[in-house]
Amino acid sequence: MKVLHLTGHFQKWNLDSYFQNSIGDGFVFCAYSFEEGFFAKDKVNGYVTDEILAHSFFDLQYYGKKEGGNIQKGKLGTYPFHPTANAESEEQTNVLIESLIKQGITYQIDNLGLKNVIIPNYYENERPNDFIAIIKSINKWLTANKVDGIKYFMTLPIANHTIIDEAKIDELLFHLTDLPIVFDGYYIVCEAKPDARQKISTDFKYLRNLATIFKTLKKQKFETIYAYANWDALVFLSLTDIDYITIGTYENLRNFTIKRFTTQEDGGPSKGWYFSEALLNFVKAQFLDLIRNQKGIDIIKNERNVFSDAILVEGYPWSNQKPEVHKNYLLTITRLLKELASEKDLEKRKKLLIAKIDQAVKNYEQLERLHITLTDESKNYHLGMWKSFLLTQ
Amino acid sequence: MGSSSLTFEFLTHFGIQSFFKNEKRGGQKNVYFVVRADGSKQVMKILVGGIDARFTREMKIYEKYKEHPCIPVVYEVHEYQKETVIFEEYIEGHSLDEIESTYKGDNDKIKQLLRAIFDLMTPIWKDGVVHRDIKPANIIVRPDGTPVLIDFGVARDLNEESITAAGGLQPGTWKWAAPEQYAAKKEMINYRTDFFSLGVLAYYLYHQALPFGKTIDEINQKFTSGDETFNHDANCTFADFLIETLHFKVANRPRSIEELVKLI
Repeated sequence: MKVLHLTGHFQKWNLDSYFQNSIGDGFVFCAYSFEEGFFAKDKVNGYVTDEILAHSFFDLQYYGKKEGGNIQKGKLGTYPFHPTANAESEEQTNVLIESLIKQGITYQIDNLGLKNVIIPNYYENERPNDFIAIIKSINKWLTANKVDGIKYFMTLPIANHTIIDEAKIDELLFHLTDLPIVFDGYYIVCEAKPDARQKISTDFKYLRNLATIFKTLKKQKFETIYAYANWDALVFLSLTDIDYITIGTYENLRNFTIKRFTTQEDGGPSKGWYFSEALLNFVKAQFLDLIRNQKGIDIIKNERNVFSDAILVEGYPWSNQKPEVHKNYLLTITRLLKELASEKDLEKRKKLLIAKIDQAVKNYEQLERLHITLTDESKNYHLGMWKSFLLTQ
Repeated sequence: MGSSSLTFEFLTHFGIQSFFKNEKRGGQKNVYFVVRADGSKQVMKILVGGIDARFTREMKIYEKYKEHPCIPVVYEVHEYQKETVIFEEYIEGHSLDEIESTYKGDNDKIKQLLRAIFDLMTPIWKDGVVHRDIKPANIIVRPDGTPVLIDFGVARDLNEESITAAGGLQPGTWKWAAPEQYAAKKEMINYRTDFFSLGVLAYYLYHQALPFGKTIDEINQKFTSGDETFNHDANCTFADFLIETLHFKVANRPRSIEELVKLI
């Protein structure tokens, strides 16, 4: 299992953590934040571009609706072959869509020199058969146009109402694993839709069906990239040898939602979050003074983590704009993922995560005994479902 | 009509000298085993109700694979007094359902048969055609043990845009049918549907029993429950083949024919 930085703005944090702190194994750059030609320069933030790209994927993010007019562009419109640059008032035809996808493939090989290509694809909410038809059509084209030495990963943007529907997932997997398919793997983008005041989904159907996707694709020898992954990647990794899992700084890189590509959304100011390996959860920065006051810091503290050490000092000026806040997450989640992946026996791996969950539950209880009641996203709203789900698998 | 009711005029018209086996009568066709004027043994099929989509499909597939050594050759098709009469190659040997007990507990014999069926079906599956009705009655085993697959009447060419055949169960196929056929999910039927039937067939030949129940209701209930477990004899050396082909979800069955072969 390899960890990839899903990289948006403030890419310097990802690059620094990779080159200076050995966090992660590579990058997925999001076109939304990098204009066309960005990688033409010799260095990016002081790092040699070729060296970066040698370990990189590129997500062209065609997710926005095919109908023009309501796509939030970011830098996407700087790519002449991107749907946003071709968004007319009338609906785009499948012929045009497929042409844009093919140009997106060619761009990654010819212009960026990538060896791993993410085939861009659309988020399809209402017409799954159209979605499957595009996949089949691109597969047919790729069968005759594969370039030696290049791996091709088809993007699977899975809408929330699809992921919670077992019959739809069965049908999707039927087509994705069909004999003529020549993709090397799939780039899986799933809309989790957590409940209000929660960061990750605890919907059993979501957990079960997404786990089924990973297991089935892996069993059928496709490589899998879990993109826009949150820390619930731990659950899926404990059941399947996922090949790549992305880590991200801001929430829009850890929780895919089509809204980001169709409406203007601002996360608003935030003091930030402390990701705790002991709680398997984020703790809102505002709670840290209470936790410190009640002598609970040692319960939640990440071990051997310079970023954690830096941000847990008393008086630290918390802000979501500070790199160490994010690097604490990047380092902690990477270590957890790597620890799980190092256990090759999947049954033992699952038990390892269950043991971590049990310990996290005890840690929450210990905080309660210190009169520290965490609320909303920071409370334990997920561990019970995680454990129950794992025990059913 | 039975052989006794075939008219003299009919027999003369088609040069039928005699019958060498009892006829088989079905809902859609009657099958006769005839000796023609040139002395050759042939199978004569008379379609009840004339040409239909099923017949057209079957003929297309026979035409497509007329050079295939393990699929019968169709010699002639005639319209005669509003009936369709087909003459095709007679395969010497036994229908597998007539000799199924000789396979009981015999790992090697079953594996040999399966490999031969894989060989004969590989080009067909790769062309996007699925038989959909693999069962002992549709497999003729030649004296040298080579199987021949007959009755492509419900086969489906997945490359064709318009498929009119039902996706569900055909009469007499329920024992060997896959969950997607029970559920009449036409869009989920492909070569891996045949893989499932081969799994049931292999299980049946070894154990002389079906893996998921004795009746159509029992099997349907098992499929609906999602419980894929079944008992198998500890001495069965192709258990992995059974486990992998008998997954209820199509996407969980072997993806490629090569994977299938490796399991034997």
